[in-house]
Amino acid sequence: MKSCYARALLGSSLLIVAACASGPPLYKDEGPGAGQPGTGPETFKVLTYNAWHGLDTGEFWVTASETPEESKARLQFQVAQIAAAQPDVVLLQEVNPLPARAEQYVQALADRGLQYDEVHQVDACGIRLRGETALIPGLNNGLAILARRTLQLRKLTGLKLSGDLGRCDSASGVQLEELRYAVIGDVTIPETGEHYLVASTHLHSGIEAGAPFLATLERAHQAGYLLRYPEFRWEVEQDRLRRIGELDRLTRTLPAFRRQGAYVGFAAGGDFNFESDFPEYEEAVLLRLEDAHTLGHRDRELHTADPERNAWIVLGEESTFPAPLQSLFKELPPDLAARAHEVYGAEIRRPRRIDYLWMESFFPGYCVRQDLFGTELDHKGRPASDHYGVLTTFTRPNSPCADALPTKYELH
Amino acid sequence: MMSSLGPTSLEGPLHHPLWTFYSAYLCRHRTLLLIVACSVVCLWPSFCRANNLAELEEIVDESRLTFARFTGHPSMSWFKDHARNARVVFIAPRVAKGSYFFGGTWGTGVLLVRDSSTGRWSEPAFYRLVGASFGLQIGALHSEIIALATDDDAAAEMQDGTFTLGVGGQLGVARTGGGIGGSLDITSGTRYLTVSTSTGFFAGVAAGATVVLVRDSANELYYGQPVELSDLSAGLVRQWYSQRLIRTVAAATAEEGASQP
Repeated sequence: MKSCYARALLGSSLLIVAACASGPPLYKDEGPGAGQPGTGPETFKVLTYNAWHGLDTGEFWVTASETPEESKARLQFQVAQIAAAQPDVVLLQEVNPLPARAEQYVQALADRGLQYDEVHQVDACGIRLRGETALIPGLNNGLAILARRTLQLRKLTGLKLSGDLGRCDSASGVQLEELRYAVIGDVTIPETGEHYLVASTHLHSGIEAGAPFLATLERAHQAGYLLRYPEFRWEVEQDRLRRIGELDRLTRTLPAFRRQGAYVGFAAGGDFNFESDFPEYEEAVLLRLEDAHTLGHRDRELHTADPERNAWIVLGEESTFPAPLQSLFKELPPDLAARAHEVYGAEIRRPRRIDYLWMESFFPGYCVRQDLFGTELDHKGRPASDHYGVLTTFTRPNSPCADALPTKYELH
Repeated sequence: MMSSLGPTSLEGPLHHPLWTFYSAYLCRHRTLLLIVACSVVCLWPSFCRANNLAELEEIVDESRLTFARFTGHPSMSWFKDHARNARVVFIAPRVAKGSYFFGGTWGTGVLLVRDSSTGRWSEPAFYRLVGASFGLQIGALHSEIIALATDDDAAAEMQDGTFTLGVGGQLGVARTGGGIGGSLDITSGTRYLTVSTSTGFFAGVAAGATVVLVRDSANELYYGQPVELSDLSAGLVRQWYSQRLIRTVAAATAEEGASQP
C-alpha cells in the first residue's frame, strides 16, 4: 500500500505539473549592453529562402525529381550563393530530407570557412517509424534556421500551425493530412547581449486563384454556367481561412514568447503563399506586423516566384492546372472555357511576391534593404530553387539610410 | 525547537488523516480518477490556463474563423440571412463533450452585441460553457457553436451574464465528420438560433442542459481592467486585437450592398 501512496503522490504531482505547465523556460536577459541599440552590430542580414525539396508531389505519392548527384550539386550551388551573401540568419523552407540536409548546409558552409548552427522542424514526413524506416523513405521535408555560431542559436519550439491528424518529429512521425509548422529559435546578439526571436515557416498553398480569375468565373456563373462555382469559391476561401489561421497562430505565439522573456523583437520569414493584395496580407498588417519590404523599398516589388525568369517553375508542377479547376472548366462551353484557361494561365504565369520577412521591433531604428537572392543560374540556365530568396539587410544608421545600402544585390 | 524541525515535521503531513484518506481513495479509485483527470485536462483547454492572454487571443481568432466558415459556407446562406438581423452573437469555437451515461460539456466562447442605433458590434466578452447530461450515451465530440439572438428578449437574456443555451434531449448515432448543420432551438421561452458542427463520435439518448457563464477574470485580463458587459456594449473599452473579429462579424451581418459600419 505504501508504494501505492508514493505512486499516488507522484501521479498527482505529475498531473498537476503537466496540466499547469506554461511553456518552455525562457531566457532572462541580463547581458552587458542589453537595451542599448547604439552598440549593436554594424549590419545584420536575414535571408529567407524556399530551397525547394526536389520532389514530385502526386495526389497519393511523392517521388524524387532529381538524382542524388543533381541534388548535391544544387545544394552546393545554393551554399555558394549563401556564402557570398554572408547572412547572419538563414530561414529555410523545403529542406529535404531533414535532418541530413540541414547538416549538409552547415558542413558545406564550414568548408567555406563559415561557422553556422542549425535548428529544424519537419513538416512533411508521411509515416516514418524511425530513421530510414518510412513509408516514403525520401520524404522528411521541412523548415530550418541557420545562424552564425556566434549568435548561439537555440530552438524554442516547433509550432504546429495547422493540421489535426499527425505530428512530425526529426526521426519519426505520422502524417495523415497536410501539416504546417513554424520553427522558432532564439539568437543572441554578441555585441549587446540582446535576444531576438527568429522563425521560419511555410504556409498552406491550396488553389491558386486571384481576383481576375475569380471575376471571370463569377461572370460565367451569373450567366447561368458553372453551377458549382459557389462550392469552388468556398474551397478557395477555405484555403485563405487556413492561411489566416496559421498566420494568427504564429503571430500570437511570438508576442507570447516576448511577454515571457526578454526579447527585443522578432522576425518571421518564409514562404507565405499569399500576395500583397490578398486578405492574408491585410491580416498580417492588422496583426501589427511590419513587412520588411515596405520599410526598405516602398515602391518596388521583389518577385520571389517568377515563372518568366525561373526555369524550375516552368518545368514543374505549377504549370499544370489543378484537378478541381479541370473539372470546373468541363462545365463551360468551349469559348468560355478557353477564356477561363487564358485568364488562369496569365495569372499563374504572373510574377509574384510570396516570400516575406515580417517583423516586430526587429533591430529598431536600423536602415532596411531587401534584395532578391539566388538569381544566378547554373550551367543549364537554371537557378538553385523554384523560388528566389529575400535577403534583408539591417544597417546601423550612422549615416542616412540611402547611403548605407549595399550595392552588390541589385533589384530586378 | 529541534524536535519541531526533526523527522516528525517532515513525515507529519504524509501521516495526516486527510492525506491517508486521500491517498487511499486515490489508490482505490485510481483508474476512474485517472480517466476523469485526463478527461478534464484533455477536453477542457482552459483548465489551469484560463488566465493566459495568448489563449484569450486564440479564442478571439478561432471565433472569427468559426463565424467566417459558418456565414461563408454556400449551404448556409439562410443562416447568414438570420445573422443580418441578429442583436447578439455568441460564438463558441471550442466545445468538448465526453459522455458515458453521465455526460459533461465544456467550452469557451465570446459574445458580441450590436448597438441598435449605430449598428456597430461591441468588443467581445468571454464566456464559459458548461453542461451536464444523463442517459444511455457514449461518445466524445468536439463542436463549434454559434447562437444568435434575433429578438429583444433573447438579446436581453444573453446579455445578463448567464444564459441557458440548450435544455432537452439528444438522440444520435455515429455523428462524425466536419459538415455544418443547423437547428432552430426554442430555449427557456426565448428564441435563439443555434448552429453547430461536430467531429467525433456519439451514440445514445440523453437529456441535459448547457449553461453559458461570463468569465470576469478573462475579460479583466484581456482588457487590462475590470469590465462590465455594459461597458463593452457601450464601447467604453477597446482592445486592438479584437478588431479583425469585429470586422468579420460586421461584414457578414451587414445588409447586402450596405457600407460597413
